[in-house]
Amino acid sequence: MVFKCDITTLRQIYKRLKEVYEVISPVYDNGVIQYRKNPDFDAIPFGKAQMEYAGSYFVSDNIGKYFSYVRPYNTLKNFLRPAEEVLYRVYIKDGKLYFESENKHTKKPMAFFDVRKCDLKALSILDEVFINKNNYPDEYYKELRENLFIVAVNCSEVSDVCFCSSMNVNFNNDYGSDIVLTELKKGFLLEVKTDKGKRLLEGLSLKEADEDDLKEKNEILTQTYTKIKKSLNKENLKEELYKKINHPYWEEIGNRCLGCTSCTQVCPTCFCFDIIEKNSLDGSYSERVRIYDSCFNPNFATVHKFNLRDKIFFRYRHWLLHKMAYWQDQFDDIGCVGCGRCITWCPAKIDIEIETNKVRDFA
Amino acid sequence: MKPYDLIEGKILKVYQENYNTITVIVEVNLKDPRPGQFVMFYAIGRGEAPITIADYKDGFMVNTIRIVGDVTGYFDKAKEGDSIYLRGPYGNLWPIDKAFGKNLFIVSGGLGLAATRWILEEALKQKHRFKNVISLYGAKSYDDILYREKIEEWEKEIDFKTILNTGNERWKGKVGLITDLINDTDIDSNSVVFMCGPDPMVNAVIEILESKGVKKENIYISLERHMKCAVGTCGHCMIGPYFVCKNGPVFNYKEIEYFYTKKGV
Repeated sequence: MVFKCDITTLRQIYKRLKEVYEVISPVYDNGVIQYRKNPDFDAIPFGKAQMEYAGSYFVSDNIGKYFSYVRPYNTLKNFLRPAEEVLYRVYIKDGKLYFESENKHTKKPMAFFDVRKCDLKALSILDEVFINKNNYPDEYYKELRENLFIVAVNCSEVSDVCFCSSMNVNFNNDYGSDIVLTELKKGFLLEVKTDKGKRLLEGLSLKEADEDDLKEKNEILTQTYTKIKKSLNKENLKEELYKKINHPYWEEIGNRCLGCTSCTQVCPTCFCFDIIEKNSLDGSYSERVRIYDSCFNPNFATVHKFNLRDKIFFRYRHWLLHKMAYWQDQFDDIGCVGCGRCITWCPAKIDIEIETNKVRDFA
Repeated sequence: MKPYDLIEGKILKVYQENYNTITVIVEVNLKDPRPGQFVMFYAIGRGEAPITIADYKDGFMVNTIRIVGDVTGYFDKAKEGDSIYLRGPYGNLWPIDKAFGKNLFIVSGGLGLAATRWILEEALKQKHRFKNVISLYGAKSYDDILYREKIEEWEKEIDFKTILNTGNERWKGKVGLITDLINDTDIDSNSVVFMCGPDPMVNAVIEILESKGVKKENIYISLERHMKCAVGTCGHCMIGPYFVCKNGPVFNYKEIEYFYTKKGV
């Protein structure tokens, strides 16, 4: 089912989503476009243009389209696997421990409004890590994931750090979205992909899309594709990187890298975490809290007193190899979706696409 | 069941193995634990630590804990009757069937003896399936030796040798490195090797084994890394593309060699 609608109908759809779900959508605040719990359709930064380069980011005004910005600086993992979440509350009483875990079912399910293909691909990757290719599926992630409603948006603009087209991101894949939206010259194309999506639109006055509309959508996708300038060479990527594991160039990158963990925080697929304990003073109560961790943290790979990656370049190499090579062995996929966030937010302007191409092409 | 759910066990017995190591016998119902696997011990307010299963039979688990960190420090005061909270078993197994019909050669260094104890006991039970079973153990000093009574039993059953880095007047055996013991031992080049010890020891032993014609694909090592989640998602224990908690802790040396021998991987 493919429909066409105008902005008024889109507003209605958003309103309906709000009735059932906690809606998360992009908003513009503090100089950045960010995903946030947002009950207000008008807070979506329609018409904004996003300019991103290695180490710099700014947003400018109106370029005459609604969905002209690219993608928020933060990612969906922030909602499905929050930076801080309580796994258990532990009470001690008469020498015995009592565990209480949070029940997420009691909360309103989440809807993501406006998710781009890079971030959808990232979600499918996290699904593999936490659910599908894990012998112990992560119930915390799974609960939130299963009740999700997703409105995807096809990009028509790109930023200078985007390179999703050369990664395993497929513009024609809906990645389990309920509705896929494309902004046409006049109005919006709504592709309904699931029953959940169908139910949401029931009763709305929607016009069925015609062949010209679909043609226009395909042209937009092709144009977007050709606008992307960056490209990462995936050919034999794993093998080539493994061969270069001891190349001195890693040290050169290590000299520039600040080890600040920025890249891992904004990466939509970085999943590493730590579990810390928050205790009451008398020791009778403790919370087991899962927090984001980063392989750039100096003590990330310590065993007793020994730090297996005691130099920054070891840590940078581990991160890049994990994304581009190890991930292929672990999950049959590449761990990078080419969203370019790590490039934008690297204070040292290190560009993963440039560095990966460079290392793989060394003799 | 959520991935971090803990189950309750009861400490039946605590032994002081040496100045910094204890062995506990825990009554706990684990789901089909096997030699090579580990459990996560939880200490309220401190966190978890991966501890190898040194033996398990009919709901009774043996664990040897070196009191070195925050979490293991909690168990310093462990006493009989205490409740203990843990999860597991996790990880893969020593592939004992690979050694059937061949010589099984078990090498352990320091606390690594805990990781090979159960598989050694299994091998003894099935002695007829192997051409021979040899086991070498290296410890720092006389005071570091683990499982003294067990060692006496093993010495009666198989060629079990111990070497100490530093000897003293109470020690009548050999002094030196575990590599010296291997040099003095008749190793069949067709042996299957199970090994657990510190990385430098493992590297040195493999060099000698190779010089004696033992194939890399017949060497299995149990690795120790910083395992936090134990289910392959926190990323801490990664070595190259392997999660030690999920793909290990037992690895075929040939498979892991490329990453294991690179610094900082």
